[in-house]
This record gives sequence, C-alpha cells and structure tokens, in this order.
Amino acid sequence: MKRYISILSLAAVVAVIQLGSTLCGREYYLTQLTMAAYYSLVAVGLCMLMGYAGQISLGHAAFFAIGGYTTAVLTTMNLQAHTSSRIVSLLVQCGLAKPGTDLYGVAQLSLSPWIALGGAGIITVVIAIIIGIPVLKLKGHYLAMATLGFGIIVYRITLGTGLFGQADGISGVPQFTIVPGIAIGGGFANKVINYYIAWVMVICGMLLLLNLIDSRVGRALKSIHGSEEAASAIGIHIPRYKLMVFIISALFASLAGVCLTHYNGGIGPSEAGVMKSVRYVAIVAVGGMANLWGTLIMSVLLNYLSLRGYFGSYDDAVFGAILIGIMLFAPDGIIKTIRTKVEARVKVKVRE
Amino acid sequence: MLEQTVQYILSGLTIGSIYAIAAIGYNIIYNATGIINFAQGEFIMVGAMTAITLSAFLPLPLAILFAVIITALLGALIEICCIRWLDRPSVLRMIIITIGLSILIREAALHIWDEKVRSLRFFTGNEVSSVSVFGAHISPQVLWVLGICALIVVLLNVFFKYTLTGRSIRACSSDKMAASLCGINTRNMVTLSFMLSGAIGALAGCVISPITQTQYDCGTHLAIKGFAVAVFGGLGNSMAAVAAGLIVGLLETFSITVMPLAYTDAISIAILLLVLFFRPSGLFGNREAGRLKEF
Amino acid sequence: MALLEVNNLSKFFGGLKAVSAVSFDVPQGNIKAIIGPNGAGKTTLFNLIAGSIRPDCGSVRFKNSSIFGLPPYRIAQRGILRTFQNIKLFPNLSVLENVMAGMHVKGRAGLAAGMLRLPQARAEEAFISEKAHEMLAFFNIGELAKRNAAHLSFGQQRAVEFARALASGPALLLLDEPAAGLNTQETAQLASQIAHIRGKGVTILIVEHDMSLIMDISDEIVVVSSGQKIAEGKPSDIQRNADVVRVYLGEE
Repeated sequence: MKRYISILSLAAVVAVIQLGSTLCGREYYLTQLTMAAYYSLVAVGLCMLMGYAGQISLGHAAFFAIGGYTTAVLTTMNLQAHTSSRIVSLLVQCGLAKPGTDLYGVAQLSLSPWIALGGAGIITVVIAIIIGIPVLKLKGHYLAMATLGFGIIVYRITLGTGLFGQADGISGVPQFTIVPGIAIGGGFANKVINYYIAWVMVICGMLLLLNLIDSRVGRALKSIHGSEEAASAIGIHIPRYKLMVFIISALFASLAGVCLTHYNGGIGPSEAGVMKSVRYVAIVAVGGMANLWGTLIMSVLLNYLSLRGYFGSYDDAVFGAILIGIMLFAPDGIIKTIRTKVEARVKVKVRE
Repeated sequence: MLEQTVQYILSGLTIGSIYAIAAIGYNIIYNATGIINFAQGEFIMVGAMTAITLSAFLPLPLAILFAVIITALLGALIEICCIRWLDRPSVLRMIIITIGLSILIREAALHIWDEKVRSLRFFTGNEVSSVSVFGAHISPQVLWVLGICALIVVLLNVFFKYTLTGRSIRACSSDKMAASLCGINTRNMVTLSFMLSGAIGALAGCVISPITQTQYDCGTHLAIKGFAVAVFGGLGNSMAAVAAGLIVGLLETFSITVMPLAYTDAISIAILLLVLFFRPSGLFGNREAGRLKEF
Repeated sequence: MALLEVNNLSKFFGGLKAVSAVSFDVPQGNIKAIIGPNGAGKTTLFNLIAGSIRPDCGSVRFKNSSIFGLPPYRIAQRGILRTFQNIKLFPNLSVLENVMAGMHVKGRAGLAAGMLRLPQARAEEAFISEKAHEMLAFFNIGELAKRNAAHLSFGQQRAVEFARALASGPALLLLDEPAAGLNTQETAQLASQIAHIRGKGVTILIVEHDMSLIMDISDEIVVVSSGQKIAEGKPSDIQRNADVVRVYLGEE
C-alpha cells in the first residue's frame, strides 16, 4: 500500500511542477526535467543491479548507447533503394516503414521507430546475455574492470565506426509517434507532452522495480548480495538471478537510450563514454545504494543541475567529488545519513 | 621488411614497458592493501605534466626528480586522506573512492594544464634524431624508455628482496596481523606503497611523454591497459606483469597492421576480458591461488 | 531404507586424503552426529554432502536418488538444508525476509509475476509470509520479525538461521558445528532447540566436536579421524570404544 501512496505522490509532484512551470511561463525547465527523467530510468535500473543485487557495472552507459544507436541507425536508414525487396515491401504494407522526404527533398523510406524499439530490445538482451554470463562470474575489482572494459569497447566502436557516425554521432533521428498526436521528440510544441511521456515511463519503471524488490525474485537478488554462500544453500541458482537482473537493468538503460535519442533527435559517442557510466554509479551511490527512491531523487536533482549547466566546467569534477565524499563519509547514501543524524538529534532533544 | 618488423617490435616493447610499469604500480598497492587503485593512470599523467611544467625553468633531470617526488607525495596524500582511516572498507567502496579520485585528479589537471597536448623534451637529441638498430631508425628516447623501465624493475626487485623496508612491505602483504605483531607499522607501509606506486608511475610518465605526448585525460586508457596487463600476468605478480606488458604492447602494435587505428584500444581490453573469463588467475598465475583470491 | 546413504565417499586435495572411503547411513527421523578431533576431515565430509566441495569418488544418495556432485543450490532444492558454523544471515534483509528467502524453493513466482504483482504471485507471497511468521513463532522470535538481521544477538541469529533453514520444510537438516563458541548454558539451550526441531519430524545430521552435546542428543554417532571412519554406533557404545578413546585422548 505504502508504495502506491509514494507513487501517487510522485505523480502529483510531476503534475504540479508542470503546471507551475507553465503558469510561470518557464516551460523551458521541462526540457531538462524530461532528459533527467530518461537518465533516471538508467539510474534506477542500475540501482537494482548494484544496490540490491550487489553487482557493480561500470559500463552501463554502453547499454544506453546500444539502445540509442540502434534506433538512430534503423530510423535514419533510407530503404528507398531496396523497395523492390520483398521484406521492405512487406514492411511498407504493414505500415512499419514510411515514405517521406528528408531535408533536401530526397525521397526517403524509413523504418518505423516501433521496429527500432523492438530491435533495440532484442540487441540489448542478446548483448547483455553474451556479456553477462562470463562477466557476472567475476567479483569485486574484476567485475568492475570487466564492465568498464565492456563500456570502453562499446565507446570505441561508436567512435570508430562509420555506420555510427564516428565522432559526430547520428543526427536527424525522426520523432517517435506513439499514437497519432503523441510523439517523443519534435521540438518546442511537444514539450509538455514529452515531459509527461518521460515521467509516465519513470513512474511505471519505478512501480515495476518497487514490486520486484518485494517479490520472490527480489528477495533472491537481495540475498545474493547478502551472502552468496547462504543464498545457494537455500536453493537459489545464483548465475540465473544475476543474469536476470543484469538484463532488466540493461533494458532500462536501453529503453532510456531509445527514448532520449528520439527526443533529442540524435545521439553522440559521449553518451557511451566512461564518464557517463561513472555518473550513473555516482548517482546510485549518493542515493544510498539499495534505495530506489533515493536514487531517483538524487538522479533527477543531479542530472537537472548538470543539464542546466550549474556545475559549469566542473561538471565531471562535481561527480568525482560526490563519489569520494559519499563513499568516505556517508556510504549509506546522503538521505539515510542525514535522517539518522536528525533522528539522533531529536532523540537527544526529547531526553532533555 | 626486417627493418619494419624491428620498428614494430621496438615500438611494441616501448609501449608495452609503460603498460608493465602501470601494472607494477597496481601490484604494489594491491599487494599491500588488496585495493585496485583506479587512479594509477593519473599518477603517470601527473608525473609527466609536472615534469613538463618544471622543465621550463629547471634542467631536465631535476624537473623529473621533482615530478617524481611530487607525485609520490600525491600518492601519500591520497592514502592518508581517503584510505588510512577507513575501517575495513568493502571492495565496492574502495573501487568507487579510487574512481572518484581519478576523476578529481583528471579534472584538476584539466584546470591546471588545460586541454592542450604537451610533451616533455627528448632526453637526448630531438624529434628527428634517430639511432639505427638492425637497419631500423628509432628515436633514442625508445632506448631511454626501455632502459629506465628495466632499471625500475631491477631496483624494485632489489628493494623488495634485500632492504628492510621492502621486506616489511612484503610482510604486510602476506599477513598484516603477523607483520604488525613483528613491530612493523603496517599503516606506514601502506602509505609507502602508495608513494612508491606514484613515484614509478611518474617516472614512467616522464620517459614516455616525449614519444606519446601527454594530455590531461591520457591516464584513463593507461589505467585500463595497465590493469589488463596486471590481470594478464596474474594480479600481484610484478615479474609476470613485465612479460604480460611486453606481450600486450607487441600485440597492440602489430594489430595496427590488420585493423583500423581506432580499434587498437579495444585489443588490450578484449585481451583483458578474455583472460578474466577464461583464466582469472592470469597467464602465469597459479589456478588454485587465483581462485583463493576471490575478494 | 535410510534417508541419506553415504558410500565410500572420498576427497583428495592434491596428494592429501581429506576424506577417504567413508560410508554411513542417516535413517529417517534420526539425529546422527559426525565427530572427530580437529583436522579429522569432518568439515570436509560435511561440505561434500552439502555440495560446497565436489567429491572425487563414492556415492551420496538422498531419498534413493543420487545427489553426488550436485551444486549446493540443487541439493537444497532436493530438500537438504544447512546451517553455517559462523552463522550466515542476509544482513541486508529483515528477520522476516530472511526466513521468507528460506522458502525460495517453495515458491514459483517468476520475474514478470513479481514485477506486475499478478494475483498468483500475491497469493504466494501472502502464504510465504504467513509460513515465515509461523516459523518465527516456532522459535519464539516472533517479535523480531521487522528487525534487521544484522543487529541481533548471537543466540537470536542462530534461531533465525534455524528458522530460515527449516522454512521450506526440508527432510534433512545439516548442522555445521552449531555449538562452536557457546558456553555451557547456551549449549544446553541449543540442545533443547535441536530436540524441538526433531519434534517436527526433521532428520538431522550434525557435525560437532563438543562431545557432551553429541552424547546428549544424538541417536547414532560416526567418528572420523584422519579422513577415515573409525567407529559408528550408539553414544553409549562410542563412549566405550577403545579406538575412539585413543583418538581423543592419545595413546597411552
């Protein structure tokens, strides 16, 4: 019950912020909040993997990039030259490929974002399985370095491959029409709609993960974090559950990548960079590791501040400092540490 | 044909020996504390950058000397501020702290030395001077790199085997409790290992800088490659790291002949992943011992 | 027919015979003990049965089917649960969740069912939670349900571990040196707890070197020394067995 109240309050806050910013004529805030929402989707997914199941991933930006680049490549590909092929004509008949024109008026036949979304999902799961099976056998530093290595490889591939636009990335990604009238992307006019699309996704994601935590599978994940030896002694098949949560969190990241790429109309290699992965880890750490709400709040806060440029040229340094500060002084996360401090002070006052 | 092969081999060995030094830096700290210092690559960068700055108004040997000392002090500072007073921190916590440190050092370097690519001047001669080895023309700096890296390895061996301090550090790494019962101040030994690690990193950074040049963010890729080499040789085993470093350096150099330059970084990382998957104890490590080292 | 049959079970570490050709049965409903001096191989023997070490040769049969060489989680799924010498609870879970986790093998709800809170998963969750509460009540620690498992006294932790191991209703319970580090009074309390568990019809195999506890509670004892079985029988027989006395007291 408690979780539904929290979720409803989140929804209320989301609506109040939108109304407030519209009334004050400051809708431009919503852009950063929309982007922050998508980044938060990655963070809460990683929180599940890192905080609850105890498996660090220093390569989560890679999954974001896999989603983003898959949709970018597929939806910007021109199938005009292949209209004679049977698959393409079948796609057109099913409405999964749409003719149009590009900026210069050249005829364009592009795939529907729905296909791209499905493709991104499949590719993400396949890569998560291929990487996850060997990597999740590792522990500690080895796991950290292996996931970091995976992240760097993906980064290098995006940077060095012509298909992915090398250092320029891919731009001109069309908007993602979910139902007519509601689309991810597409400029200033769609600001409010996009804000709600992003936040509905975050709310749904949170609900799914909050449910998961208190379920049988969630308990198995938490017990793996607690003690692998004891977990297998009560019949939990550890590799299976680790892989499961790895795939789930990869899918969250990939979905965020797909949506943000459509929202921004493009994606660049920096999204796959090591620093991005480290940011997600920092956010989960500040949020208190095994704390979905803390992660969400910190993610929105930090991403929003960062996107609005409050950190200036110290952007990365801020995240570095946060990582060290939190891990040195408040390894349980900032919210919990403050709460215990306050509670202790209240107790002292009561005694007096 | 032979000339070109020799050229490749020498350049592979050069870059490989830097990886080896980075890996040894990891090993020194790992052996003393069980921590992988993700900021190891930054030591190399800071060493080179400091030497470059100092060399503007100091003779080269002095500039390098001070750079090494400053980086060693940086190592000590890190240990004292962020490691020493933690009570049995979890591995995850240590990973995150050292990652944070590497970011902070890198960002500080960005603000001190900006984004410009710099390089230390050549120890002997200049960019165009060369010596001939088996018909291949190579920069004398390559000989400096190989020579100094070899010297570091030899000196470290002597230090750890024959000096009291070196032996004390080794005692700490094999059994902290027993070492402190013998009257060794284990905490100071840990600080010392950070200093040592910083110092050799800085020295390696200085000798390689004229060839590969230095930028504020060059530490990251050296760190991951150094780690790849350390794991490849078997974590904690410094002599194996030297062999592994040279192998990785050679593989990387020869890979340029068959694949685009942009992917060469992926080579050592791919090696890292393969070794981690199939032989986590390393190429030269003992399989059983590797399994025991699950932490 | 016995519940657990161990036949010629052996394990070598390099050239060292840690356990060599040990055979014994654990009949249904019994409390069977494995004792031996330090380094006799009894912990290795225990781990071979629990699956945390893979045996080299011999056979282990449970309910007449082989569990030889199975990994620990498969052995747990068959209905053999264990405790740890230095108690391993999940410190990140509450006491109740620890016990609920112990019923993992009894549940079926998968990932999707859990994330969507499907009716079937919800019903299962309610059932598991009720059972877990019952289990806590059985060990008189019902009031600890909401507490974090990391902040309990040693005795409470052991009770929680028992509750977790028994929650799934195992046929066989393996206890790894449960009396290690306990004083006489605590050992007596432990003995009554074990008797209490047996009252539920659970068969127990216990590895221990506290002789007085073993003599009190067990139906039959296996004595191992240097990796080999040197005696087996009722406590009274074991006490009089010359070999056993020699192993424990040294040659005279």
